[in-house]
Amino acid sequence: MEFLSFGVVIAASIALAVYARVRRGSGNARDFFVASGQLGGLLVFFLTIGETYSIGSVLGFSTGVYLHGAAFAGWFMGYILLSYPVGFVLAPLLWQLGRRTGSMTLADIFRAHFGSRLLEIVVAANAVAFLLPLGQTQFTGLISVMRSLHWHVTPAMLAGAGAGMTFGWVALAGVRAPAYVSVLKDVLLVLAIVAGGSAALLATGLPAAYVATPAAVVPARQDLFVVSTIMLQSLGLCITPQAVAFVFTARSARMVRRNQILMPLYMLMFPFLYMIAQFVRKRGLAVSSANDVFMLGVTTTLPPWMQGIVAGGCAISALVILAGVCLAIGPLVSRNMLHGLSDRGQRVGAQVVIGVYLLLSAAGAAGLGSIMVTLNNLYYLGMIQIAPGLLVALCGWRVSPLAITAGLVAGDGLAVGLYWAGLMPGGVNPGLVGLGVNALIVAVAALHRSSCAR
Amino acid sequence: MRVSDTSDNAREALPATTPLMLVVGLGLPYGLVIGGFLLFEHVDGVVFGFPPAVAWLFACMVLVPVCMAVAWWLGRVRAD
Repeated sequence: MEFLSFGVVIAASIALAVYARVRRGSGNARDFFVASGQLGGLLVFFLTIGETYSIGSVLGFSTGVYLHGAAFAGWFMGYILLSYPVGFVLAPLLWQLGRRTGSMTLADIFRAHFGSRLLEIVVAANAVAFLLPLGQTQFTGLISVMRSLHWHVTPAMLAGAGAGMTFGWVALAGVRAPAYVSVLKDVLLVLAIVAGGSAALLATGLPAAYVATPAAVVPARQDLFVVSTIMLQSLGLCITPQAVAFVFTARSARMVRRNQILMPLYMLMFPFLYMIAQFVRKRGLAVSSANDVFMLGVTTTLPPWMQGIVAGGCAISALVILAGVCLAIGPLVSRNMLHGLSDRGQRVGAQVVIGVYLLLSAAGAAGLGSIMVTLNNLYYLGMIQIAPGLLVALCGWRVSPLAITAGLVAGDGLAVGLYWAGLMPGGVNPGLVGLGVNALIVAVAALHRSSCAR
Repeated sequence: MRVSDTSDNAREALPATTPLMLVVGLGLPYGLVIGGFLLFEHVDGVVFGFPPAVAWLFACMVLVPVCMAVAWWLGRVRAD
Protein backbone atom coordinates (compact mmCIF):
# COMPACT_ATOMS: atom_id res chain seq x y z
CA MET A 1 0.00 0.00 0.00
CA GLU A 2 2.79 2.41 0.88
CA PHE A 3 4.37 1.67 -2.49
CA LEU A 4 1.19 2.80 -4.27
CA SER A 5 0.83 6.08 -2.34
CA PHE A 6 4.55 6.76 -2.79
CA GLY A 7 4.15 6.22 -6.54
CA VAL A 8 1.20 8.62 -6.70
CA VAL A 9 3.29 11.35 -5.03
CA ILE A 10 6.19 10.84 -7.43
CA ALA A 11 3.84 10.80 -10.45
CA ALA A 12 2.20 14.04 -9.24
CA SER A 13 5.61 15.71 -8.94
CA ILE A 14 6.48 14.71 -12.52
CA ALA A 15 3.12 16.05 -13.73
CA LEU A 16 3.86 19.36 -12.00
CA ALA A 17 7.28 19.58 -13.62
CA VAL A 18 5.64 19.02 -17.03
CA TYR A 19 3.08 21.72 -16.21
CA ALA A 20 5.95 24.03 -15.25
CA ARG A 21 7.38 23.54 -18.74
CA VAL A 22 4.05 24.54 -20.26
CA ARG A 23 4.16 27.73 -18.18
CA ARG A 24 7.74 28.62 -19.11
CA GLY A 25 8.55 31.88 -20.84
CA SER A 26 10.99 32.66 -23.63
CA GLY A 27 13.29 29.68 -23.09
CA ASN A 28 16.49 31.73 -22.83
CA ALA A 29 19.09 31.47 -20.04
CA ARG A 30 17.38 34.12 -17.88
CA ASP A 31 14.11 32.23 -18.04
CA PHE A 32 15.85 28.91 -17.34
CA PHE A 33 17.80 30.12 -14.27
CA VAL A 34 15.54 32.82 -12.74
CA ALA A 35 12.18 32.47 -14.57
CA SER A 36 12.75 35.90 -16.17
CA GLY A 37 11.98 37.44 -12.76
CA GLN A 38 8.28 36.83 -13.37
CA LEU A 39 7.16 34.39 -10.65
CA GLY A 40 4.20 35.38 -8.49
CA GLY A 41 4.15 35.69 -4.69
CA LEU A 42 2.93 32.16 -3.92
CA LEU A 43 5.56 30.37 -6.01
CA VAL A 44 8.37 32.60 -4.71
CA PHE A 45 7.16 31.93 -1.17
CA PHE A 46 7.32 28.16 -1.55
CA LEU A 47 10.58 28.27 -3.48
CA THR A 48 12.26 30.48 -0.88
CA ILE A 49 10.96 28.69 2.17
CA GLY A 50 11.89 25.26 0.80
CA GLU A 51 14.79 24.85 3.18
CA THR A 52 12.56 25.22 6.27
CA TYR A 53 11.06 21.81 5.56
CA SER A 54 13.87 20.27 3.57
CA ILE A 55 14.75 16.65 4.12
CA GLY A 56 17.81 17.93 6.00
CA SER A 57 15.73 19.89 8.49
CA VAL A 58 13.03 17.24 8.91
CA LEU A 59 15.51 14.39 9.51
CA GLY A 60 18.21 16.59 11.06
CA PHE A 61 15.93 18.30 13.57
CA SER A 62 14.39 15.04 14.79
CA THR A 63 17.84 13.48 15.07
CA GLY A 64 19.28 16.48 16.91
CA VAL A 65 16.43 16.64 19.43
CA TYR A 66 16.67 12.88 19.94
CA LEU A 67 20.42 13.07 20.60
CA HIS A 68 20.88 16.47 22.25
CA GLY A 69 17.47 17.74 23.43
CA ALA A 70 16.57 21.41 23.96
CA ALA A 71 20.01 22.93 23.21
CA PHE A 72 19.90 21.54 19.68
CA ALA A 73 16.31 22.70 19.19
CA GLY A 74 17.36 26.20 20.26
CA TRP A 75 20.16 26.45 17.73
CA PHE A 76 18.22 24.88 14.88
CA MET A 77 14.96 26.79 15.26
CA GLY A 78 16.80 29.97 16.25
CA TYR A 79 18.81 30.29 13.06
CA ILE A 80 15.94 29.45 10.72
CA LEU A 81 13.61 31.80 12.58
CA LEU A 82 16.09 34.69 12.48
CA SER A 83 16.89 34.19 8.81
CA TYR A 84 13.45 35.63 8.01
CA PRO A 85 14.05 39.10 9.53
CA VAL A 86 17.47 39.11 7.83
CA GLY A 87 15.77 38.28 4.55
CA PHE A 88 13.10 40.88 5.29
CA VAL A 89 15.83 43.53 5.17
CA LEU A 90 18.33 42.05 2.69
CA ALA A 91 16.25 40.18 0.10
CA PRO A 92 14.41 43.20 -1.41
CA LEU A 93 17.69 45.15 -1.56
CA LEU A 94 19.29 42.18 -3.34
CA TRP A 95 16.35 42.06 -5.75
CA GLN A 96 16.74 45.77 -6.54
CA LEU A 97 20.50 45.45 -7.04
CA GLY A 98 20.02 42.36 -9.20
CA ARG A 99 17.41 44.06 -11.37
CA ARG A 100 19.58 47.18 -11.73
CA THR A 101 22.65 45.18 -12.78
CA GLY A 102 20.85 42.47 -14.79
CA SER A 103 22.27 39.78 -12.49
CA MET A 104 21.24 36.14 -12.61
CA THR A 105 23.74 34.75 -10.08
CA LEU A 106 25.43 35.83 -6.88
CA ALA A 107 28.75 36.22 -8.72
CA ASP A 108 27.08 38.49 -11.32
CA ILE A 109 26.49 41.04 -8.54
CA PHE A 110 30.19 41.10 -7.70
CA ARG A 111 31.21 41.43 -11.35
CA ALA A 112 28.74 44.27 -11.90
CA HIS A 113 29.63 46.24 -8.77
CA PHE A 114 33.38 45.69 -8.49
CA GLY A 115 34.19 45.21 -12.20
CA SER A 116 36.69 42.43 -11.42
CA ARG A 117 36.90 39.09 -13.23
CA LEU A 118 39.16 37.69 -10.51
CA LEU A 119 36.63 38.48 -7.78
CA GLU A 120 33.79 37.06 -9.87
CA ILE A 121 35.68 33.78 -10.29
CA VAL A 122 36.69 33.61 -6.61
CA VAL A 123 33.09 34.21 -5.48
CA ALA A 124 31.78 31.59 -7.93
CA ALA A 125 34.46 29.06 -6.93
CA ASN A 126 33.79 29.66 -3.22
CA ALA A 127 30.06 29.12 -3.73
CA VAL A 128 30.51 25.97 -5.81
CA ALA A 129 33.08 24.47 -3.41
CA PHE A 130 30.87 24.89 -0.36
CA LEU A 131 27.71 23.82 -2.20
CA LEU A 132 29.29 20.49 -3.18
CA PRO A 133 28.43 18.61 0.05
CA LEU A 134 24.81 19.75 -0.13
CA GLY A 135 23.97 17.45 -3.04
CA GLN A 136 25.35 14.44 -1.23
CA THR A 137 23.41 15.44 1.88
CA GLN A 138 20.12 15.32 -0.05
CA PHE A 139 20.91 11.86 -1.43
CA THR A 140 21.94 10.61 2.03
CA GLY A 141 18.56 11.79 3.35
CA LEU A 142 16.72 10.16 0.47
CA ILE A 143 18.47 6.82 1.08
CA SER A 144 17.79 7.07 4.80
CA VAL A 145 14.05 7.61 4.23
CA MET A 146 13.75 4.76 1.75
CA ARG A 147 15.70 2.38 4.00
CA SER A 148 13.10 2.83 6.72
CA LEU A 149 10.38 1.43 4.41
CA HIS A 150 12.43 -1.80 4.00
CA TRP A 151 12.08 -1.97 0.23
CA HIS A 152 14.66 -4.10 -1.53
CA VAL A 153 16.38 -1.28 -3.38
CA THR A 154 20.11 -0.63 -3.15
CA PRO A 155 21.41 2.85 -2.21
CA ALA A 156 23.07 3.09 -5.64
CA MET A 157 19.75 2.49 -7.42
CA LEU A 158 17.96 5.02 -5.23
CA ALA A 159 20.61 7.68 -5.70
CA GLY A 160 20.69 7.00 -9.45
CA ALA A 161 16.91 7.27 -9.76
CA GLY A 162 16.93 10.49 -7.70
CA ALA A 163 19.67 11.99 -9.84
CA GLY A 164 17.83 11.06 -13.05
CA MET A 165 14.58 12.56 -11.84
CA THR A 166 16.21 15.79 -10.68
CA PHE A 167 18.01 16.18 -13.98
CA GLY A 168 14.74 15.55 -15.81
CA TRP A 169 12.92 18.26 -13.82
CA VAL A 170 15.68 20.80 -14.37
CA ALA A 171 16.03 20.03 -18.09
CA LEU A 172 12.27 20.28 -18.54
CA ALA A 173 11.58 23.65 -17.00
CA GLY A 174 14.64 25.12 -15.27
CA VAL A 175 13.86 26.89 -12.00
CA ARG A 176 10.11 26.73 -12.63
CA ALA A 177 10.18 22.96 -12.01
CA PRO A 178 11.34 23.13 -8.35
CA ALA A 179 9.06 26.17 -7.88
CA TYR A 180 5.91 24.26 -8.85
CA VAL A 181 6.94 20.96 -7.26
CA SER A 182 7.84 22.70 -4.00
CA VAL A 183 4.14 23.57 -3.50
CA LEU A 184 3.26 19.86 -3.53
CA LYS A 185 6.30 18.99 -1.43
CA ASP A 186 5.46 21.49 1.30
CA VAL A 187 1.78 20.55 1.47
CA LEU A 188 2.76 16.88 1.84
CA LEU A 189 5.48 17.47 4.40
CA VAL A 190 3.33 19.72 6.56
CA LEU A 191 0.54 17.11 6.52
CA ALA A 192 3.05 14.36 7.29
CA ILE A 193 4.62 16.22 10.18
CA VAL A 194 1.28 17.16 11.74
CA ALA A 195 -0.06 13.60 11.34
CA GLY A 196 3.11 11.99 12.69
CA GLY A 197 3.44 14.43 15.59
CA SER A 198 -0.21 14.10 16.59
CA ALA A 199 -0.05 10.31 16.42
CA ALA A 200 3.15 10.34 18.48
CA LEU A 201 1.56 12.54 21.14
CA LEU A 202 -1.55 10.35 21.35
CA ALA A 203 0.55 7.18 21.47
CA THR A 204 2.66 8.57 24.30
CA GLY A 205 -0.48 9.15 26.31
CA LEU A 206 -2.15 12.45 27.09
CA PRO A 207 -1.97 14.39 29.34
CA ALA A 208 1.22 13.10 30.95
CA ALA A 209 3.13 12.92 27.68
CA TYR A 210 6.10 14.86 28.90
CA VAL A 211 7.35 15.11 32.41
CA ALA A 212 9.03 18.27 33.63
CA THR A 213 12.73 17.82 34.15
CA PRO A 214 15.16 20.26 35.80
CA ALA A 215 16.94 22.58 33.36
CA ALA A 216 20.39 21.32 32.43
CA VAL A 217 23.39 23.33 33.60
CA VAL A 218 24.66 25.02 30.43
CA PRO A 219 28.25 26.31 30.45
CA ALA A 220 28.77 29.88 29.14
CA ARG A 221 31.07 28.52 26.44
CA GLN A 222 28.26 26.40 25.00
CA ASP A 223 25.91 29.39 25.08
CA LEU A 224 28.46 31.44 23.16
CA PHE A 225 28.79 28.73 20.54
CA VAL A 226 25.01 28.45 20.12
CA VAL A 227 24.57 32.23 19.84
CA SER A 228 27.47 32.69 17.41
CA THR A 229 26.22 29.80 15.27
CA ILE A 230 22.69 31.22 15.19
CA MET A 231 24.06 34.60 14.08
CA LEU A 232 26.30 33.02 11.45
CA GLN A 233 23.68 30.76 9.94
CA SER A 234 20.74 33.18 10.06
CA LEU A 235 22.72 35.51 7.82
CA GLY A 236 24.26 32.69 5.78
CA LEU A 237 20.88 31.18 4.88
CA CYS A 238 19.86 34.41 3.12
CA ILE A 239 22.97 34.81 0.97
CA THR A 240 23.49 31.31 -0.39
CA PRO A 241 23.65 31.28 -4.22
CA GLN A 242 20.34 29.43 -4.49
CA ALA A 243 18.59 31.83 -2.07
CA VAL A 244 19.84 34.80 -4.11
CA ALA A 245 18.68 33.16 -7.37
CA PHE A 246 15.24 32.52 -5.85
CA VAL A 247 14.99 36.23 -4.93
CA PHE A 248 15.76 37.08 -8.57
CA THR A 249 12.79 34.97 -9.74
CA ALA A 250 10.34 37.37 -8.04
CA ARG A 251 8.37 40.00 -9.89
CA SER A 252 8.87 42.76 -7.31
CA ALA A 253 10.96 43.70 -4.28
CA ARG A 254 7.78 44.50 -2.39
CA MET A 255 6.53 40.94 -2.86
CA VAL A 256 9.85 39.55 -1.63
CA ARG A 257 9.69 41.60 1.59
CA ARG A 258 6.00 40.86 2.21
CA ASN A 259 6.60 37.11 1.85
CA GLN A 260 9.27 37.21 4.57
CA ILE A 261 6.72 38.44 7.14
CA LEU A 262 4.63 35.28 6.84
CA MET A 263 7.49 32.78 6.76
CA PRO A 264 8.04 32.29 10.52
CA LEU A 265 4.38 31.24 10.87
CA TYR A 266 5.22 28.41 8.54
CA MET A 267 7.54 27.02 11.24
CA LEU A 268 4.60 26.19 13.50
CA MET A 269 4.99 22.54 12.48
CA PHE A 270 8.24 22.24 14.45
CA PRO A 271 6.41 21.38 17.72
CA PHE A 272 5.11 18.27 15.93
CA LEU A 273 8.61 17.33 14.78
CA TYR A 274 9.77 17.77 18.37
CA MET A 275 7.01 15.43 19.56
CA ILE A 276 8.05 12.74 17.07
CA ALA A 277 11.66 12.85 18.31
CA GLN A 278 10.55 12.76 21.95
CA PHE A 279 8.21 9.85 21.20
CA VAL A 280 11.07 7.79 19.74
CA ARG A 281 13.30 8.62 22.69
CA LYS A 282 10.77 8.02 25.45
CA ARG A 283 9.50 4.79 23.89
CA GLY A 284 13.10 3.55 23.69
CA LEU A 285 12.64 2.50 20.04
CA ALA A 286 15.73 0.90 18.48
CA VAL A 287 17.30 3.47 16.14
CA SER A 288 19.65 1.78 13.70
CA SER A 289 21.11 5.05 12.36
CA ALA A 290 20.88 8.58 13.77
CA ASN A 291 19.15 9.90 10.62
CA ASP A 292 16.33 7.34 11.03
CA VAL A 293 14.57 8.99 14.01
CA PHE A 294 11.89 10.81 12.02
CA MET A 295 10.96 7.87 9.80
CA LEU A 296 11.01 5.48 12.77
CA GLY A 297 8.46 7.72 14.48
CA VAL A 298 6.38 7.80 11.30
CA THR A 299 6.49 4.06 10.58
CA THR A 300 5.61 3.26 14.20
CA THR A 301 2.61 5.57 14.41
CA LEU A 302 1.08 5.96 10.92
CA PRO A 303 -0.73 3.45 8.64
CA PRO A 304 1.15 2.08 5.58
CA TRP A 305 -0.59 4.33 3.01
CA MET A 306 0.40 7.40 5.06
CA GLN A 307 3.98 6.11 5.33
CA GLY A 308 4.15 6.05 1.53
CA ILE A 309 2.94 9.65 1.33
CA VAL A 310 5.44 10.78 3.98
CA ALA A 311 8.27 8.98 2.18
CA GLY A 312 7.15 10.49 -1.13
CA GLY A 313 7.03 13.97 0.43
CA CYS A 314 10.52 13.49 1.90
CA ALA A 315 11.87 12.17 -1.41
CA ILE A 316 10.61 15.09 -3.50
CA SER A 317 11.75 17.44 -0.73
CA ALA A 318 15.30 16.17 -1.19
CA LEU A 319 15.04 16.46 -4.95
CA VAL A 320 13.54 19.97 -4.90
CA ILE A 321 16.41 21.25 -2.75
CA LEU A 322 18.82 19.38 -4.98
CA ALA A 323 17.32 20.98 -8.10
CA GLY A 324 17.72 24.42 -6.51
CA VAL A 325 21.37 23.71 -5.73
CA CYS A 326 21.94 22.40 -9.26
CA LEU A 327 20.40 25.53 -10.76
CA ALA A 328 22.71 27.64 -8.59
CA ILE A 329 25.88 25.70 -9.42
CA GLY A 330 25.20 25.37 -13.17
CA PRO A 331 25.29 29.08 -14.09
CA LEU A 332 28.07 29.82 -11.56
CA VAL A 333 30.26 27.56 -13.69
CA SER A 334 28.88 28.11 -17.19
CA ARG A 335 28.28 31.86 -16.83
CA ASN A 336 30.77 33.12 -14.24
CA MET A 337 33.73 30.74 -14.32
CA LEU A 338 33.64 29.96 -18.05
CA HIS A 339 33.26 33.45 -19.37
CA GLY A 340 31.96 34.42 -22.80
CA LEU A 341 29.58 31.54 -23.60
CA SER A 342 26.51 32.36 -25.69
CA ASP A 343 23.04 32.31 -24.14
CA ARG A 344 22.48 28.77 -25.42
CA GLY A 345 26.02 27.81 -24.39
CA GLN A 346 25.30 28.90 -20.83
CA ARG A 347 22.17 26.76 -20.66
CA VAL A 348 23.78 23.68 -22.23
CA GLY A 349 26.98 24.17 -20.20
CA ALA A 350 24.95 24.44 -17.00
CA GLN A 351 23.11 21.21 -17.82
CA VAL A 352 26.42 19.39 -18.35
CA VAL A 353 27.71 20.73 -15.01
CA ILE A 354 24.45 19.73 -13.31
CA GLY A 355 24.67 16.22 -14.76
CA VAL A 356 28.23 15.75 -13.52
CA TYR A 357 27.37 17.22 -10.11
CA LEU A 358 24.39 14.89 -9.70
CA LEU A 359 26.44 11.85 -10.64
CA LEU A 360 29.24 12.70 -8.22
CA SER A 361 26.81 13.49 -5.38
CA ALA A 362 24.83 10.29 -5.96
CA ALA A 363 27.99 8.21 -6.07
CA GLY A 364 29.25 9.83 -2.86
CA ALA A 365 25.99 9.22 -1.02
CA ALA A 366 25.64 5.63 -2.20
CA GLY A 367 29.01 4.85 -0.67
CA LEU A 368 28.77 6.85 2.50
CA GLY A 369 26.41 7.33 5.43
CA SER A 370 26.88 10.38 7.61
CA ILE A 371 25.03 12.65 9.97
CA MET A 372 23.84 15.66 8.04
CA VAL A 373 24.58 18.18 10.76
CA THR A 374 28.35 17.93 10.20
CA LEU A 375 28.11 18.79 6.51
CA ASN A 376 25.60 21.52 7.26
CA ASN A 377 28.14 23.25 9.53
CA LEU A 378 30.93 23.24 6.95
CA TYR A 379 28.54 24.60 4.33
CA TYR A 380 27.81 27.77 6.30
CA LEU A 381 31.45 28.38 7.24
CA GLY A 382 32.23 29.16 3.61
CA MET A 383 28.94 30.69 2.50
CA ILE A 384 29.06 33.40 5.14
CA GLN A 385 32.40 34.73 3.83
CA ILE A 386 30.54 36.30 0.89
CA ALA A 387 28.72 38.64 3.31
CA PRO A 388 31.20 41.58 3.61
CA GLY A 389 31.57 41.97 -0.17
CA LEU A 390 27.83 41.64 -0.67
CA LEU A 391 27.13 44.27 1.98
CA VAL A 392 29.60 46.64 0.27
CA ALA A 393 27.78 46.11 -3.05
CA LEU A 394 24.33 46.55 -1.49
CA CYS A 395 25.38 49.82 0.15
CA GLY A 396 27.00 51.03 -3.09
CA TRP A 397 30.35 51.61 -1.38
CA ARG A 398 33.59 51.68 -3.34
CA VAL A 399 36.16 49.20 -2.02
CA SER A 400 39.05 47.64 -3.93
CA PRO A 401 38.02 44.22 -5.38
CA LEU A 402 41.44 42.91 -4.33
CA ALA A 403 40.58 43.65 -0.69
CA ILE A 404 37.23 41.84 -1.03
CA THR A 405 39.04 38.86 -2.60
CA ALA A 406 41.72 38.86 0.12
CA GLY A 407 39.06 39.04 2.86
CA LEU A 408 37.09 36.19 1.33
CA VAL A 409 40.11 33.90 0.96
CA ALA A 410 41.42 34.73 4.45
CA GLY A 411 37.98 34.18 6.00
CA ASP A 412 37.58 30.82 4.26
CA GLY A 413 41.06 29.67 5.22
CA LEU A 414 40.72 30.65 8.86
CA ALA A 415 37.20 29.26 9.32
CA VAL A 416 37.90 25.91 7.69
CA GLY A 417 41.34 25.66 9.34
CA LEU A 418 39.90 26.25 12.81
CA TYR A 419 37.07 23.81 12.12
CA TRP A 420 39.37 20.99 11.04
CA ALA A 421 41.75 21.67 13.94
CA GLY A 422 38.77 21.52 16.32
CA LEU A 423 39.53 24.99 17.70
CA MET A 424 36.88 27.45 18.86
CA PRO A 425 38.44 30.63 20.28
CA GLY A 426 36.36 31.55 23.34
CA GLY A 427 33.65 29.13 22.22
CA VAL A 428 32.84 31.23 19.14
CA ASN A 429 31.90 29.41 15.93
CA PRO A 430 34.96 29.27 13.59
CA GLY A 431 32.89 30.67 10.73
CA LEU A 432 32.20 33.84 12.71
CA VAL A 433 35.92 34.18 13.57
CA GLY A 434 36.72 33.91 9.85
CA LEU A 435 33.99 36.42 9.06
CA GLY A 436 35.45 38.84 11.63
CA VAL A 437 38.89 38.74 10.00
CA ASN A 438 37.31 38.99 6.54
CA ALA A 439 35.25 42.04 7.56
CA LEU A 440 38.32 43.63 9.19
CA ILE A 441 40.33 43.37 5.96
CA VAL A 442 37.47 44.91 3.97
CA ALA A 443 36.97 47.69 6.56
CA VAL A 444 40.68 48.60 6.60
CA ALA A 445 40.70 48.76 2.77
CA ALA A 446 37.57 50.94 2.78
CA LEU A 447 39.05 53.33 5.37
CA HIS A 448 42.35 53.49 3.48
CA ARG A 449 40.53 54.30 0.24
CA SER A 450 38.42 57.04 1.83
CA SER A 451 41.49 58.63 3.50
CA CYS A 452 43.33 58.57 0.12
CA ALA A 453 40.30 60.17 -1.58
CA ARG A 454 40.48 63.08 0.86
CA MET B 1 -3.47 22.67 -9.20
CA ARG B 2 -3.17 26.02 -10.91
CA VAL B 3 -0.78 28.54 -9.42
CA SER B 4 -0.63 31.97 -10.95
CA ASP B 5 2.75 33.20 -12.09
CA THR B 6 1.79 36.83 -12.26
CA SER B 7 -0.57 37.75 -9.47
CA ASP B 8 1.07 40.59 -7.65
CA ASN B 9 0.69 44.31 -7.41
CA ALA B 10 4.24 45.05 -8.54
CA ARG B 11 3.54 48.73 -9.13
CA GLU B 12 3.31 49.59 -5.41
CA ALA B 13 6.51 50.92 -3.86
CA LEU B 14 8.72 48.98 -1.46
CA PRO B 15 8.26 50.29 2.11
CA ALA B 16 11.26 52.40 3.14
CA THR B 17 14.23 50.82 4.96
CA THR B 18 14.69 53.25 7.87
CA PRO B 19 16.76 52.92 11.08
CA LEU B 20 13.57 52.53 13.15
CA MET B 21 12.30 49.87 10.78
CA LEU B 22 15.65 48.03 11.15
CA VAL B 23 15.44 48.14 14.94
CA VAL B 24 11.88 46.79 15.01
CA GLY B 25 12.11 44.38 12.08
CA LEU B 26 15.61 43.01 12.67
CA GLY B 27 17.03 44.02 16.07
CA LEU B 28 13.95 43.16 18.09
CA PRO B 29 13.58 39.63 16.66
CA TYR B 30 17.27 38.94 17.45
CA GLY B 31 16.76 40.20 20.99
CA LEU B 32 13.61 38.15 21.48
CA VAL B 33 14.94 34.89 20.04
CA ILE B 34 18.48 34.89 21.43
CA GLY B 35 17.80 36.78 24.67
CA GLY B 36 14.71 34.73 25.45
CA PHE B 37 16.40 31.43 24.70
CA LEU B 38 19.39 32.22 26.93
CA LEU B 39 17.05 33.33 29.72
CA PHE B 40 14.66 30.39 29.57
CA GLU B 41 17.20 27.60 29.10
CA HIS B 42 18.13 27.99 32.76
CA VAL B 43 14.52 27.77 33.91
CA ASP B 44 13.12 24.50 35.29
CA GLY B 45 9.69 23.20 34.41
CA VAL B 46 7.51 22.54 31.43
CA VAL B 47 5.25 24.71 29.25
CA PHE B 48 2.54 22.81 27.31
CA GLY B 49 4.78 19.75 27.48
CA PHE B 50 7.93 21.48 26.22
CA PRO B 51 11.04 22.78 28.02
CA PRO B 52 10.58 26.56 28.64
CA ALA B 53 13.34 27.58 26.20
CA VAL B 54 11.82 25.50 23.40
CA ALA B 55 8.33 26.77 24.18
CA TRP B 56 9.68 30.33 24.00
CA LEU B 57 11.05 29.71 20.50
CA PHE B 58 7.67 28.35 19.46
CA ALA B 59 6.13 31.59 20.76
CA CYS B 60 8.71 33.55 18.75
CA MET B 61 7.30 31.99 15.59
CA VAL B 62 4.34 34.32 16.15
CA LEU B 63 6.21 37.24 17.77
CA VAL B 64 8.79 37.59 14.96
CA PRO B 65 6.19 38.06 12.18
CA VAL B 66 4.47 40.63 14.40
CA CYS B 67 7.78 42.56 14.63
CA MET B 68 8.21 42.42 10.85
CA ALA B 69 4.60 43.45 10.23
CA VAL B 70 5.09 46.51 12.48
CA ALA B 71 8.36 47.30 10.67
CA TRP B 72 6.56 47.01 7.32
CA TRP B 73 3.89 49.42 8.57
CA LEU B 74 6.56 51.85 9.84
CA GLY B 75 8.27 51.70 6.43
CA ARG B 76 5.00 52.40 4.65
CA VAL B 77 4.22 55.36 6.88
CA ARG B 78 7.66 56.77 6.05
CA ALA B 79 7.24 56.07 2.31
CA ASP B 80 3.83 57.84 2.28
